[in-house]
Amino acid sequence: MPVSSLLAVEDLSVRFTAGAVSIEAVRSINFRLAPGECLALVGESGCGKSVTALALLGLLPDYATITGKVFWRERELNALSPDERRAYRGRRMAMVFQEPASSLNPVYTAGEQVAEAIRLHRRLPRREAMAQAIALLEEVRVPDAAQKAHSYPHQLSGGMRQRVLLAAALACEPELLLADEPTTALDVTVQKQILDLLSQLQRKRRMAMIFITHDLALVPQLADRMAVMYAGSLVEFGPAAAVIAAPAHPYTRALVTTHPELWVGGEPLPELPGLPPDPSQRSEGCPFAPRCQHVQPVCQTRFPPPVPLGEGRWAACLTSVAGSLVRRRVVP
Amino acid sequence: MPIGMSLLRKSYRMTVYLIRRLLSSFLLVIALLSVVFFVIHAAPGDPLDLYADSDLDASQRDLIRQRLGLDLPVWQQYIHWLAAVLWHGDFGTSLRQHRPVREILQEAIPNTLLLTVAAFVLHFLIAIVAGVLLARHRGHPWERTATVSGLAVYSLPNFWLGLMLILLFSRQLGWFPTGGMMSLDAEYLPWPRYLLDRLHHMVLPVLMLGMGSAMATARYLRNSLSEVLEQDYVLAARAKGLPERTVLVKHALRNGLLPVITLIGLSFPFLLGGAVATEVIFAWPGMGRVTIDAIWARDYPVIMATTALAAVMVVVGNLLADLLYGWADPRVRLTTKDVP
Amino acid sequence: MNGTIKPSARLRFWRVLWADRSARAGLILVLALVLCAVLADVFAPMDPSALGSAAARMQGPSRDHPLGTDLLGRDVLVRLIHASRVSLTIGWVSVVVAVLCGSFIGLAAGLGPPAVDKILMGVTDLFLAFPRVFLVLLLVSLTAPSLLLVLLVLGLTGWMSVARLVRAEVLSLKERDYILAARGLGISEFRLAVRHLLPNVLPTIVVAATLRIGSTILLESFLSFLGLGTQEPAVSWGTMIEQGRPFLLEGWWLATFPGLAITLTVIGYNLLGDGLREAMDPRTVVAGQRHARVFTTRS
Repeated sequence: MPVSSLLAVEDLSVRFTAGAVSIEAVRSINFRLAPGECLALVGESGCGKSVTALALLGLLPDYATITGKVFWRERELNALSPDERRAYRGRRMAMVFQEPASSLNPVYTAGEQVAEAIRLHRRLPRREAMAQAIALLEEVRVPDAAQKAHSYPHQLSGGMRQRVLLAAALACEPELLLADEPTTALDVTVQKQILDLLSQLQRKRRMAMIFITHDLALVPQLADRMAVMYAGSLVEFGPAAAVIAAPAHPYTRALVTTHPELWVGGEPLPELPGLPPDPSQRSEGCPFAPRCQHVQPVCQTRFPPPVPLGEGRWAACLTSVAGSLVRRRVVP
Repeated sequence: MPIGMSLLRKSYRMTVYLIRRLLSSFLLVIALLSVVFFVIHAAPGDPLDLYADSDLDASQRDLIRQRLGLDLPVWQQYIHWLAAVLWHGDFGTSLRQHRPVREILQEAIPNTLLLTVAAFVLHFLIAIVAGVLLARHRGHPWERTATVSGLAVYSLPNFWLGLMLILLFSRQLGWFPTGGMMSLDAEYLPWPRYLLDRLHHMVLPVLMLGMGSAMATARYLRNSLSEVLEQDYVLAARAKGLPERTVLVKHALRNGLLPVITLIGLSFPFLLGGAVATEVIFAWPGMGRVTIDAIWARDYPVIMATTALAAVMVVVGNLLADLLYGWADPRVRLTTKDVP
Repeated sequence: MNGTIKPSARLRFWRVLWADRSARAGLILVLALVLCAVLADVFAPMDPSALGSAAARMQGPSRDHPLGTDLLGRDVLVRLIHASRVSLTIGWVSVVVAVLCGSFIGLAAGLGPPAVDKILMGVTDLFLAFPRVFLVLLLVSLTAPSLLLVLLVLGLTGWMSVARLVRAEVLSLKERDYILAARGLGISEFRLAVRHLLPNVLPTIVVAATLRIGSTILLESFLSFLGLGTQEPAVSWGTMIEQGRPFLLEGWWLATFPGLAITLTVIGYNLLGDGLREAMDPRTVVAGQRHARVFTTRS
């Protein structure tokens, strides 16, 4: 039964080219997002998660070539002119970045930067926009919002800055929020607060969210569904709880079993040996093949397509391992 | 009210900082004046020559020597001179023109300021436009041309550039006057035409003075802007949906210009030095021309005065640039307690 | 690591320098000009001050006189070549003087007790506050103009920035391990400075010196133009420009070519200086490897 999707990504690929060097950062991504749904995009550094997010917003640099299609409610975004595309940013979809310290302009106050988004999309006069900005800061639980609005970024703590960024992103009531590792640069204690905040805001505003992270443990709290990314392509997809409880793809399985918090069967297994493949040299077969313990000859020659596993899950694995793994839970 | 208190505290800190800077600048000025005095007086020869024409007979010289207090020890002379300068702005009397040096300076300095300020504006206009263009279009073939031509302009003798400008635009093409601040009958012109005449005379000298290192500043700005454009907050600004022009001007330039402000301080000695050549070439009656004339005439009171003043102007310029930077960058403005 | 540069590093240095097109051009220019100055008598065996025939006066560029002749019939090209000697000599010698003074002061400030450092740097900053032109003019006004005076004055007004540079280098090198080790062995400060610090500061000094030669030549030509520089018969390019000034339109070649000569010279030194700086920087990669840095996207 077709769900009216907010965002539909079809066969999205991103290639960076400069001179003789060419790197395929993202390869053939497919997924759909329903309104109000939270999707977690999980993977280690360098796997292309951020590039995907930037591709959705249309913020990739000139030397990036994007193929494939991105649909926003049936409207194809890549076919739009730059100005039309710009209208979607901030208003329909907004992004929160990883480094709060450098994502805020040091020469403008927090309030000014939130108000800027408001004035841009809602065309309110300065005073009103500032008042709205303060209200937003209160909504993201910045204490002393009125005073903090007149503070400069270097006077605020990391957690505070991230809240300011969040406020700026929410300023125009976007339908989709892209959160790129929003807590990675923060203290552990603050991380939980921000995550709670994100969760609340998402539900309260009925916002769709793509939550990018490398830490699996953060996923269940926020996400309805999750997508696992490895070396530029999606390797597993499905409802978050189910995937974590019984990961199907060998990579996902490795992620779960080596995670100190998720793995409850005694000592976490040792880290997976090896590294993700060099992005400038992508091979024909499955990118995970060199590190996979279930690897078979066919894995080296064919790029694995998504294999449906039932219950809205699929895994990009050619072996029959994935299917059998579905039933073997690792997390109760 | 907490907001009020913190504002009060901030302005107190700023004031303290200001006072400290003014004080150290003042001490620097005194030191500069002293250097000028002692350099001149360290020269071989009769110190009387510094204050009186050399073609006077012995008895007249002794009289003058006494009157000017030159028979006093050097330290006392120094104190007297310094006091005269600081309290009254009195640099003595010009040997050649037989009138107070202060008068000469009062006439000359505004002319030099006119030239240098106009050149300053031109310099930074060119630099900003070129810098932004270069930053936007990195890797463009233009970049090579711009760098090379910038280097060429930077490497040529400024006085020769002035001569070439005169050769081409004045003598050959006849578009601009060869020199001077205004035409001979300019005073009788009605107001708008007077202004036009003055501007007409300013074009070539300002070009000569302002073009010199404009491309170097442009390159500096380009580098600074390129760095800024890589920053996360620029990406975040784009993600908000801001038009590219706003991102560039409001976010990138505002930050990218900060290091360039420090260059403003550095450009003062350069501009003042260049003004000397410009005024000689274009017969512009400013401080530079006065200095050169004074050197030929061995008019030491004037030489001392202009050298000292040039240094003072540099100090003042640096002070202003520092204050400007402090105001422009809130990180400096609100966190400095005391800056050395 | 005690002062000698590894041969492979030296080779790399030359390779990087040669690979950089601008630096290569600068090097060639500088060498050509030095050759021209040194071998002036070979290239132009005529006497530059010898008066030419009356018929040859004020001729524009022609086959006989590629750059024209002046009021007295003297060939401009010949005078240009001989004048290069003067300009280059002054440029090099005064820069050497300035660099020697500056290095010494910079070393002393960097290595000495904080009091000495403060005093030396205070004096340096004091002199830096003067626009160099004014300082030079002030000093020149004290006695009659001559070659020696110009040399001295230019040298004495140019040491300040070198001193600051050297001091900064010394301060950063001072904390390096091999210096501490040498100190631990009981080596005297002087020996330390000369044998260990100096060779490592040398690259910076060389770059600074090269870049300074350009600005010194410009300043010297201005002095000569004003008549405050070298006097006849040691004519410099600046003097030639001054001599051509009254005939700016009718005899444009007189003022134009010396200026071009100066420009080319300074361009050469600036290019070379920039190239040297790039080549000495261990982070500079030979072109081609630069592209690898481009893709620094996050995760």
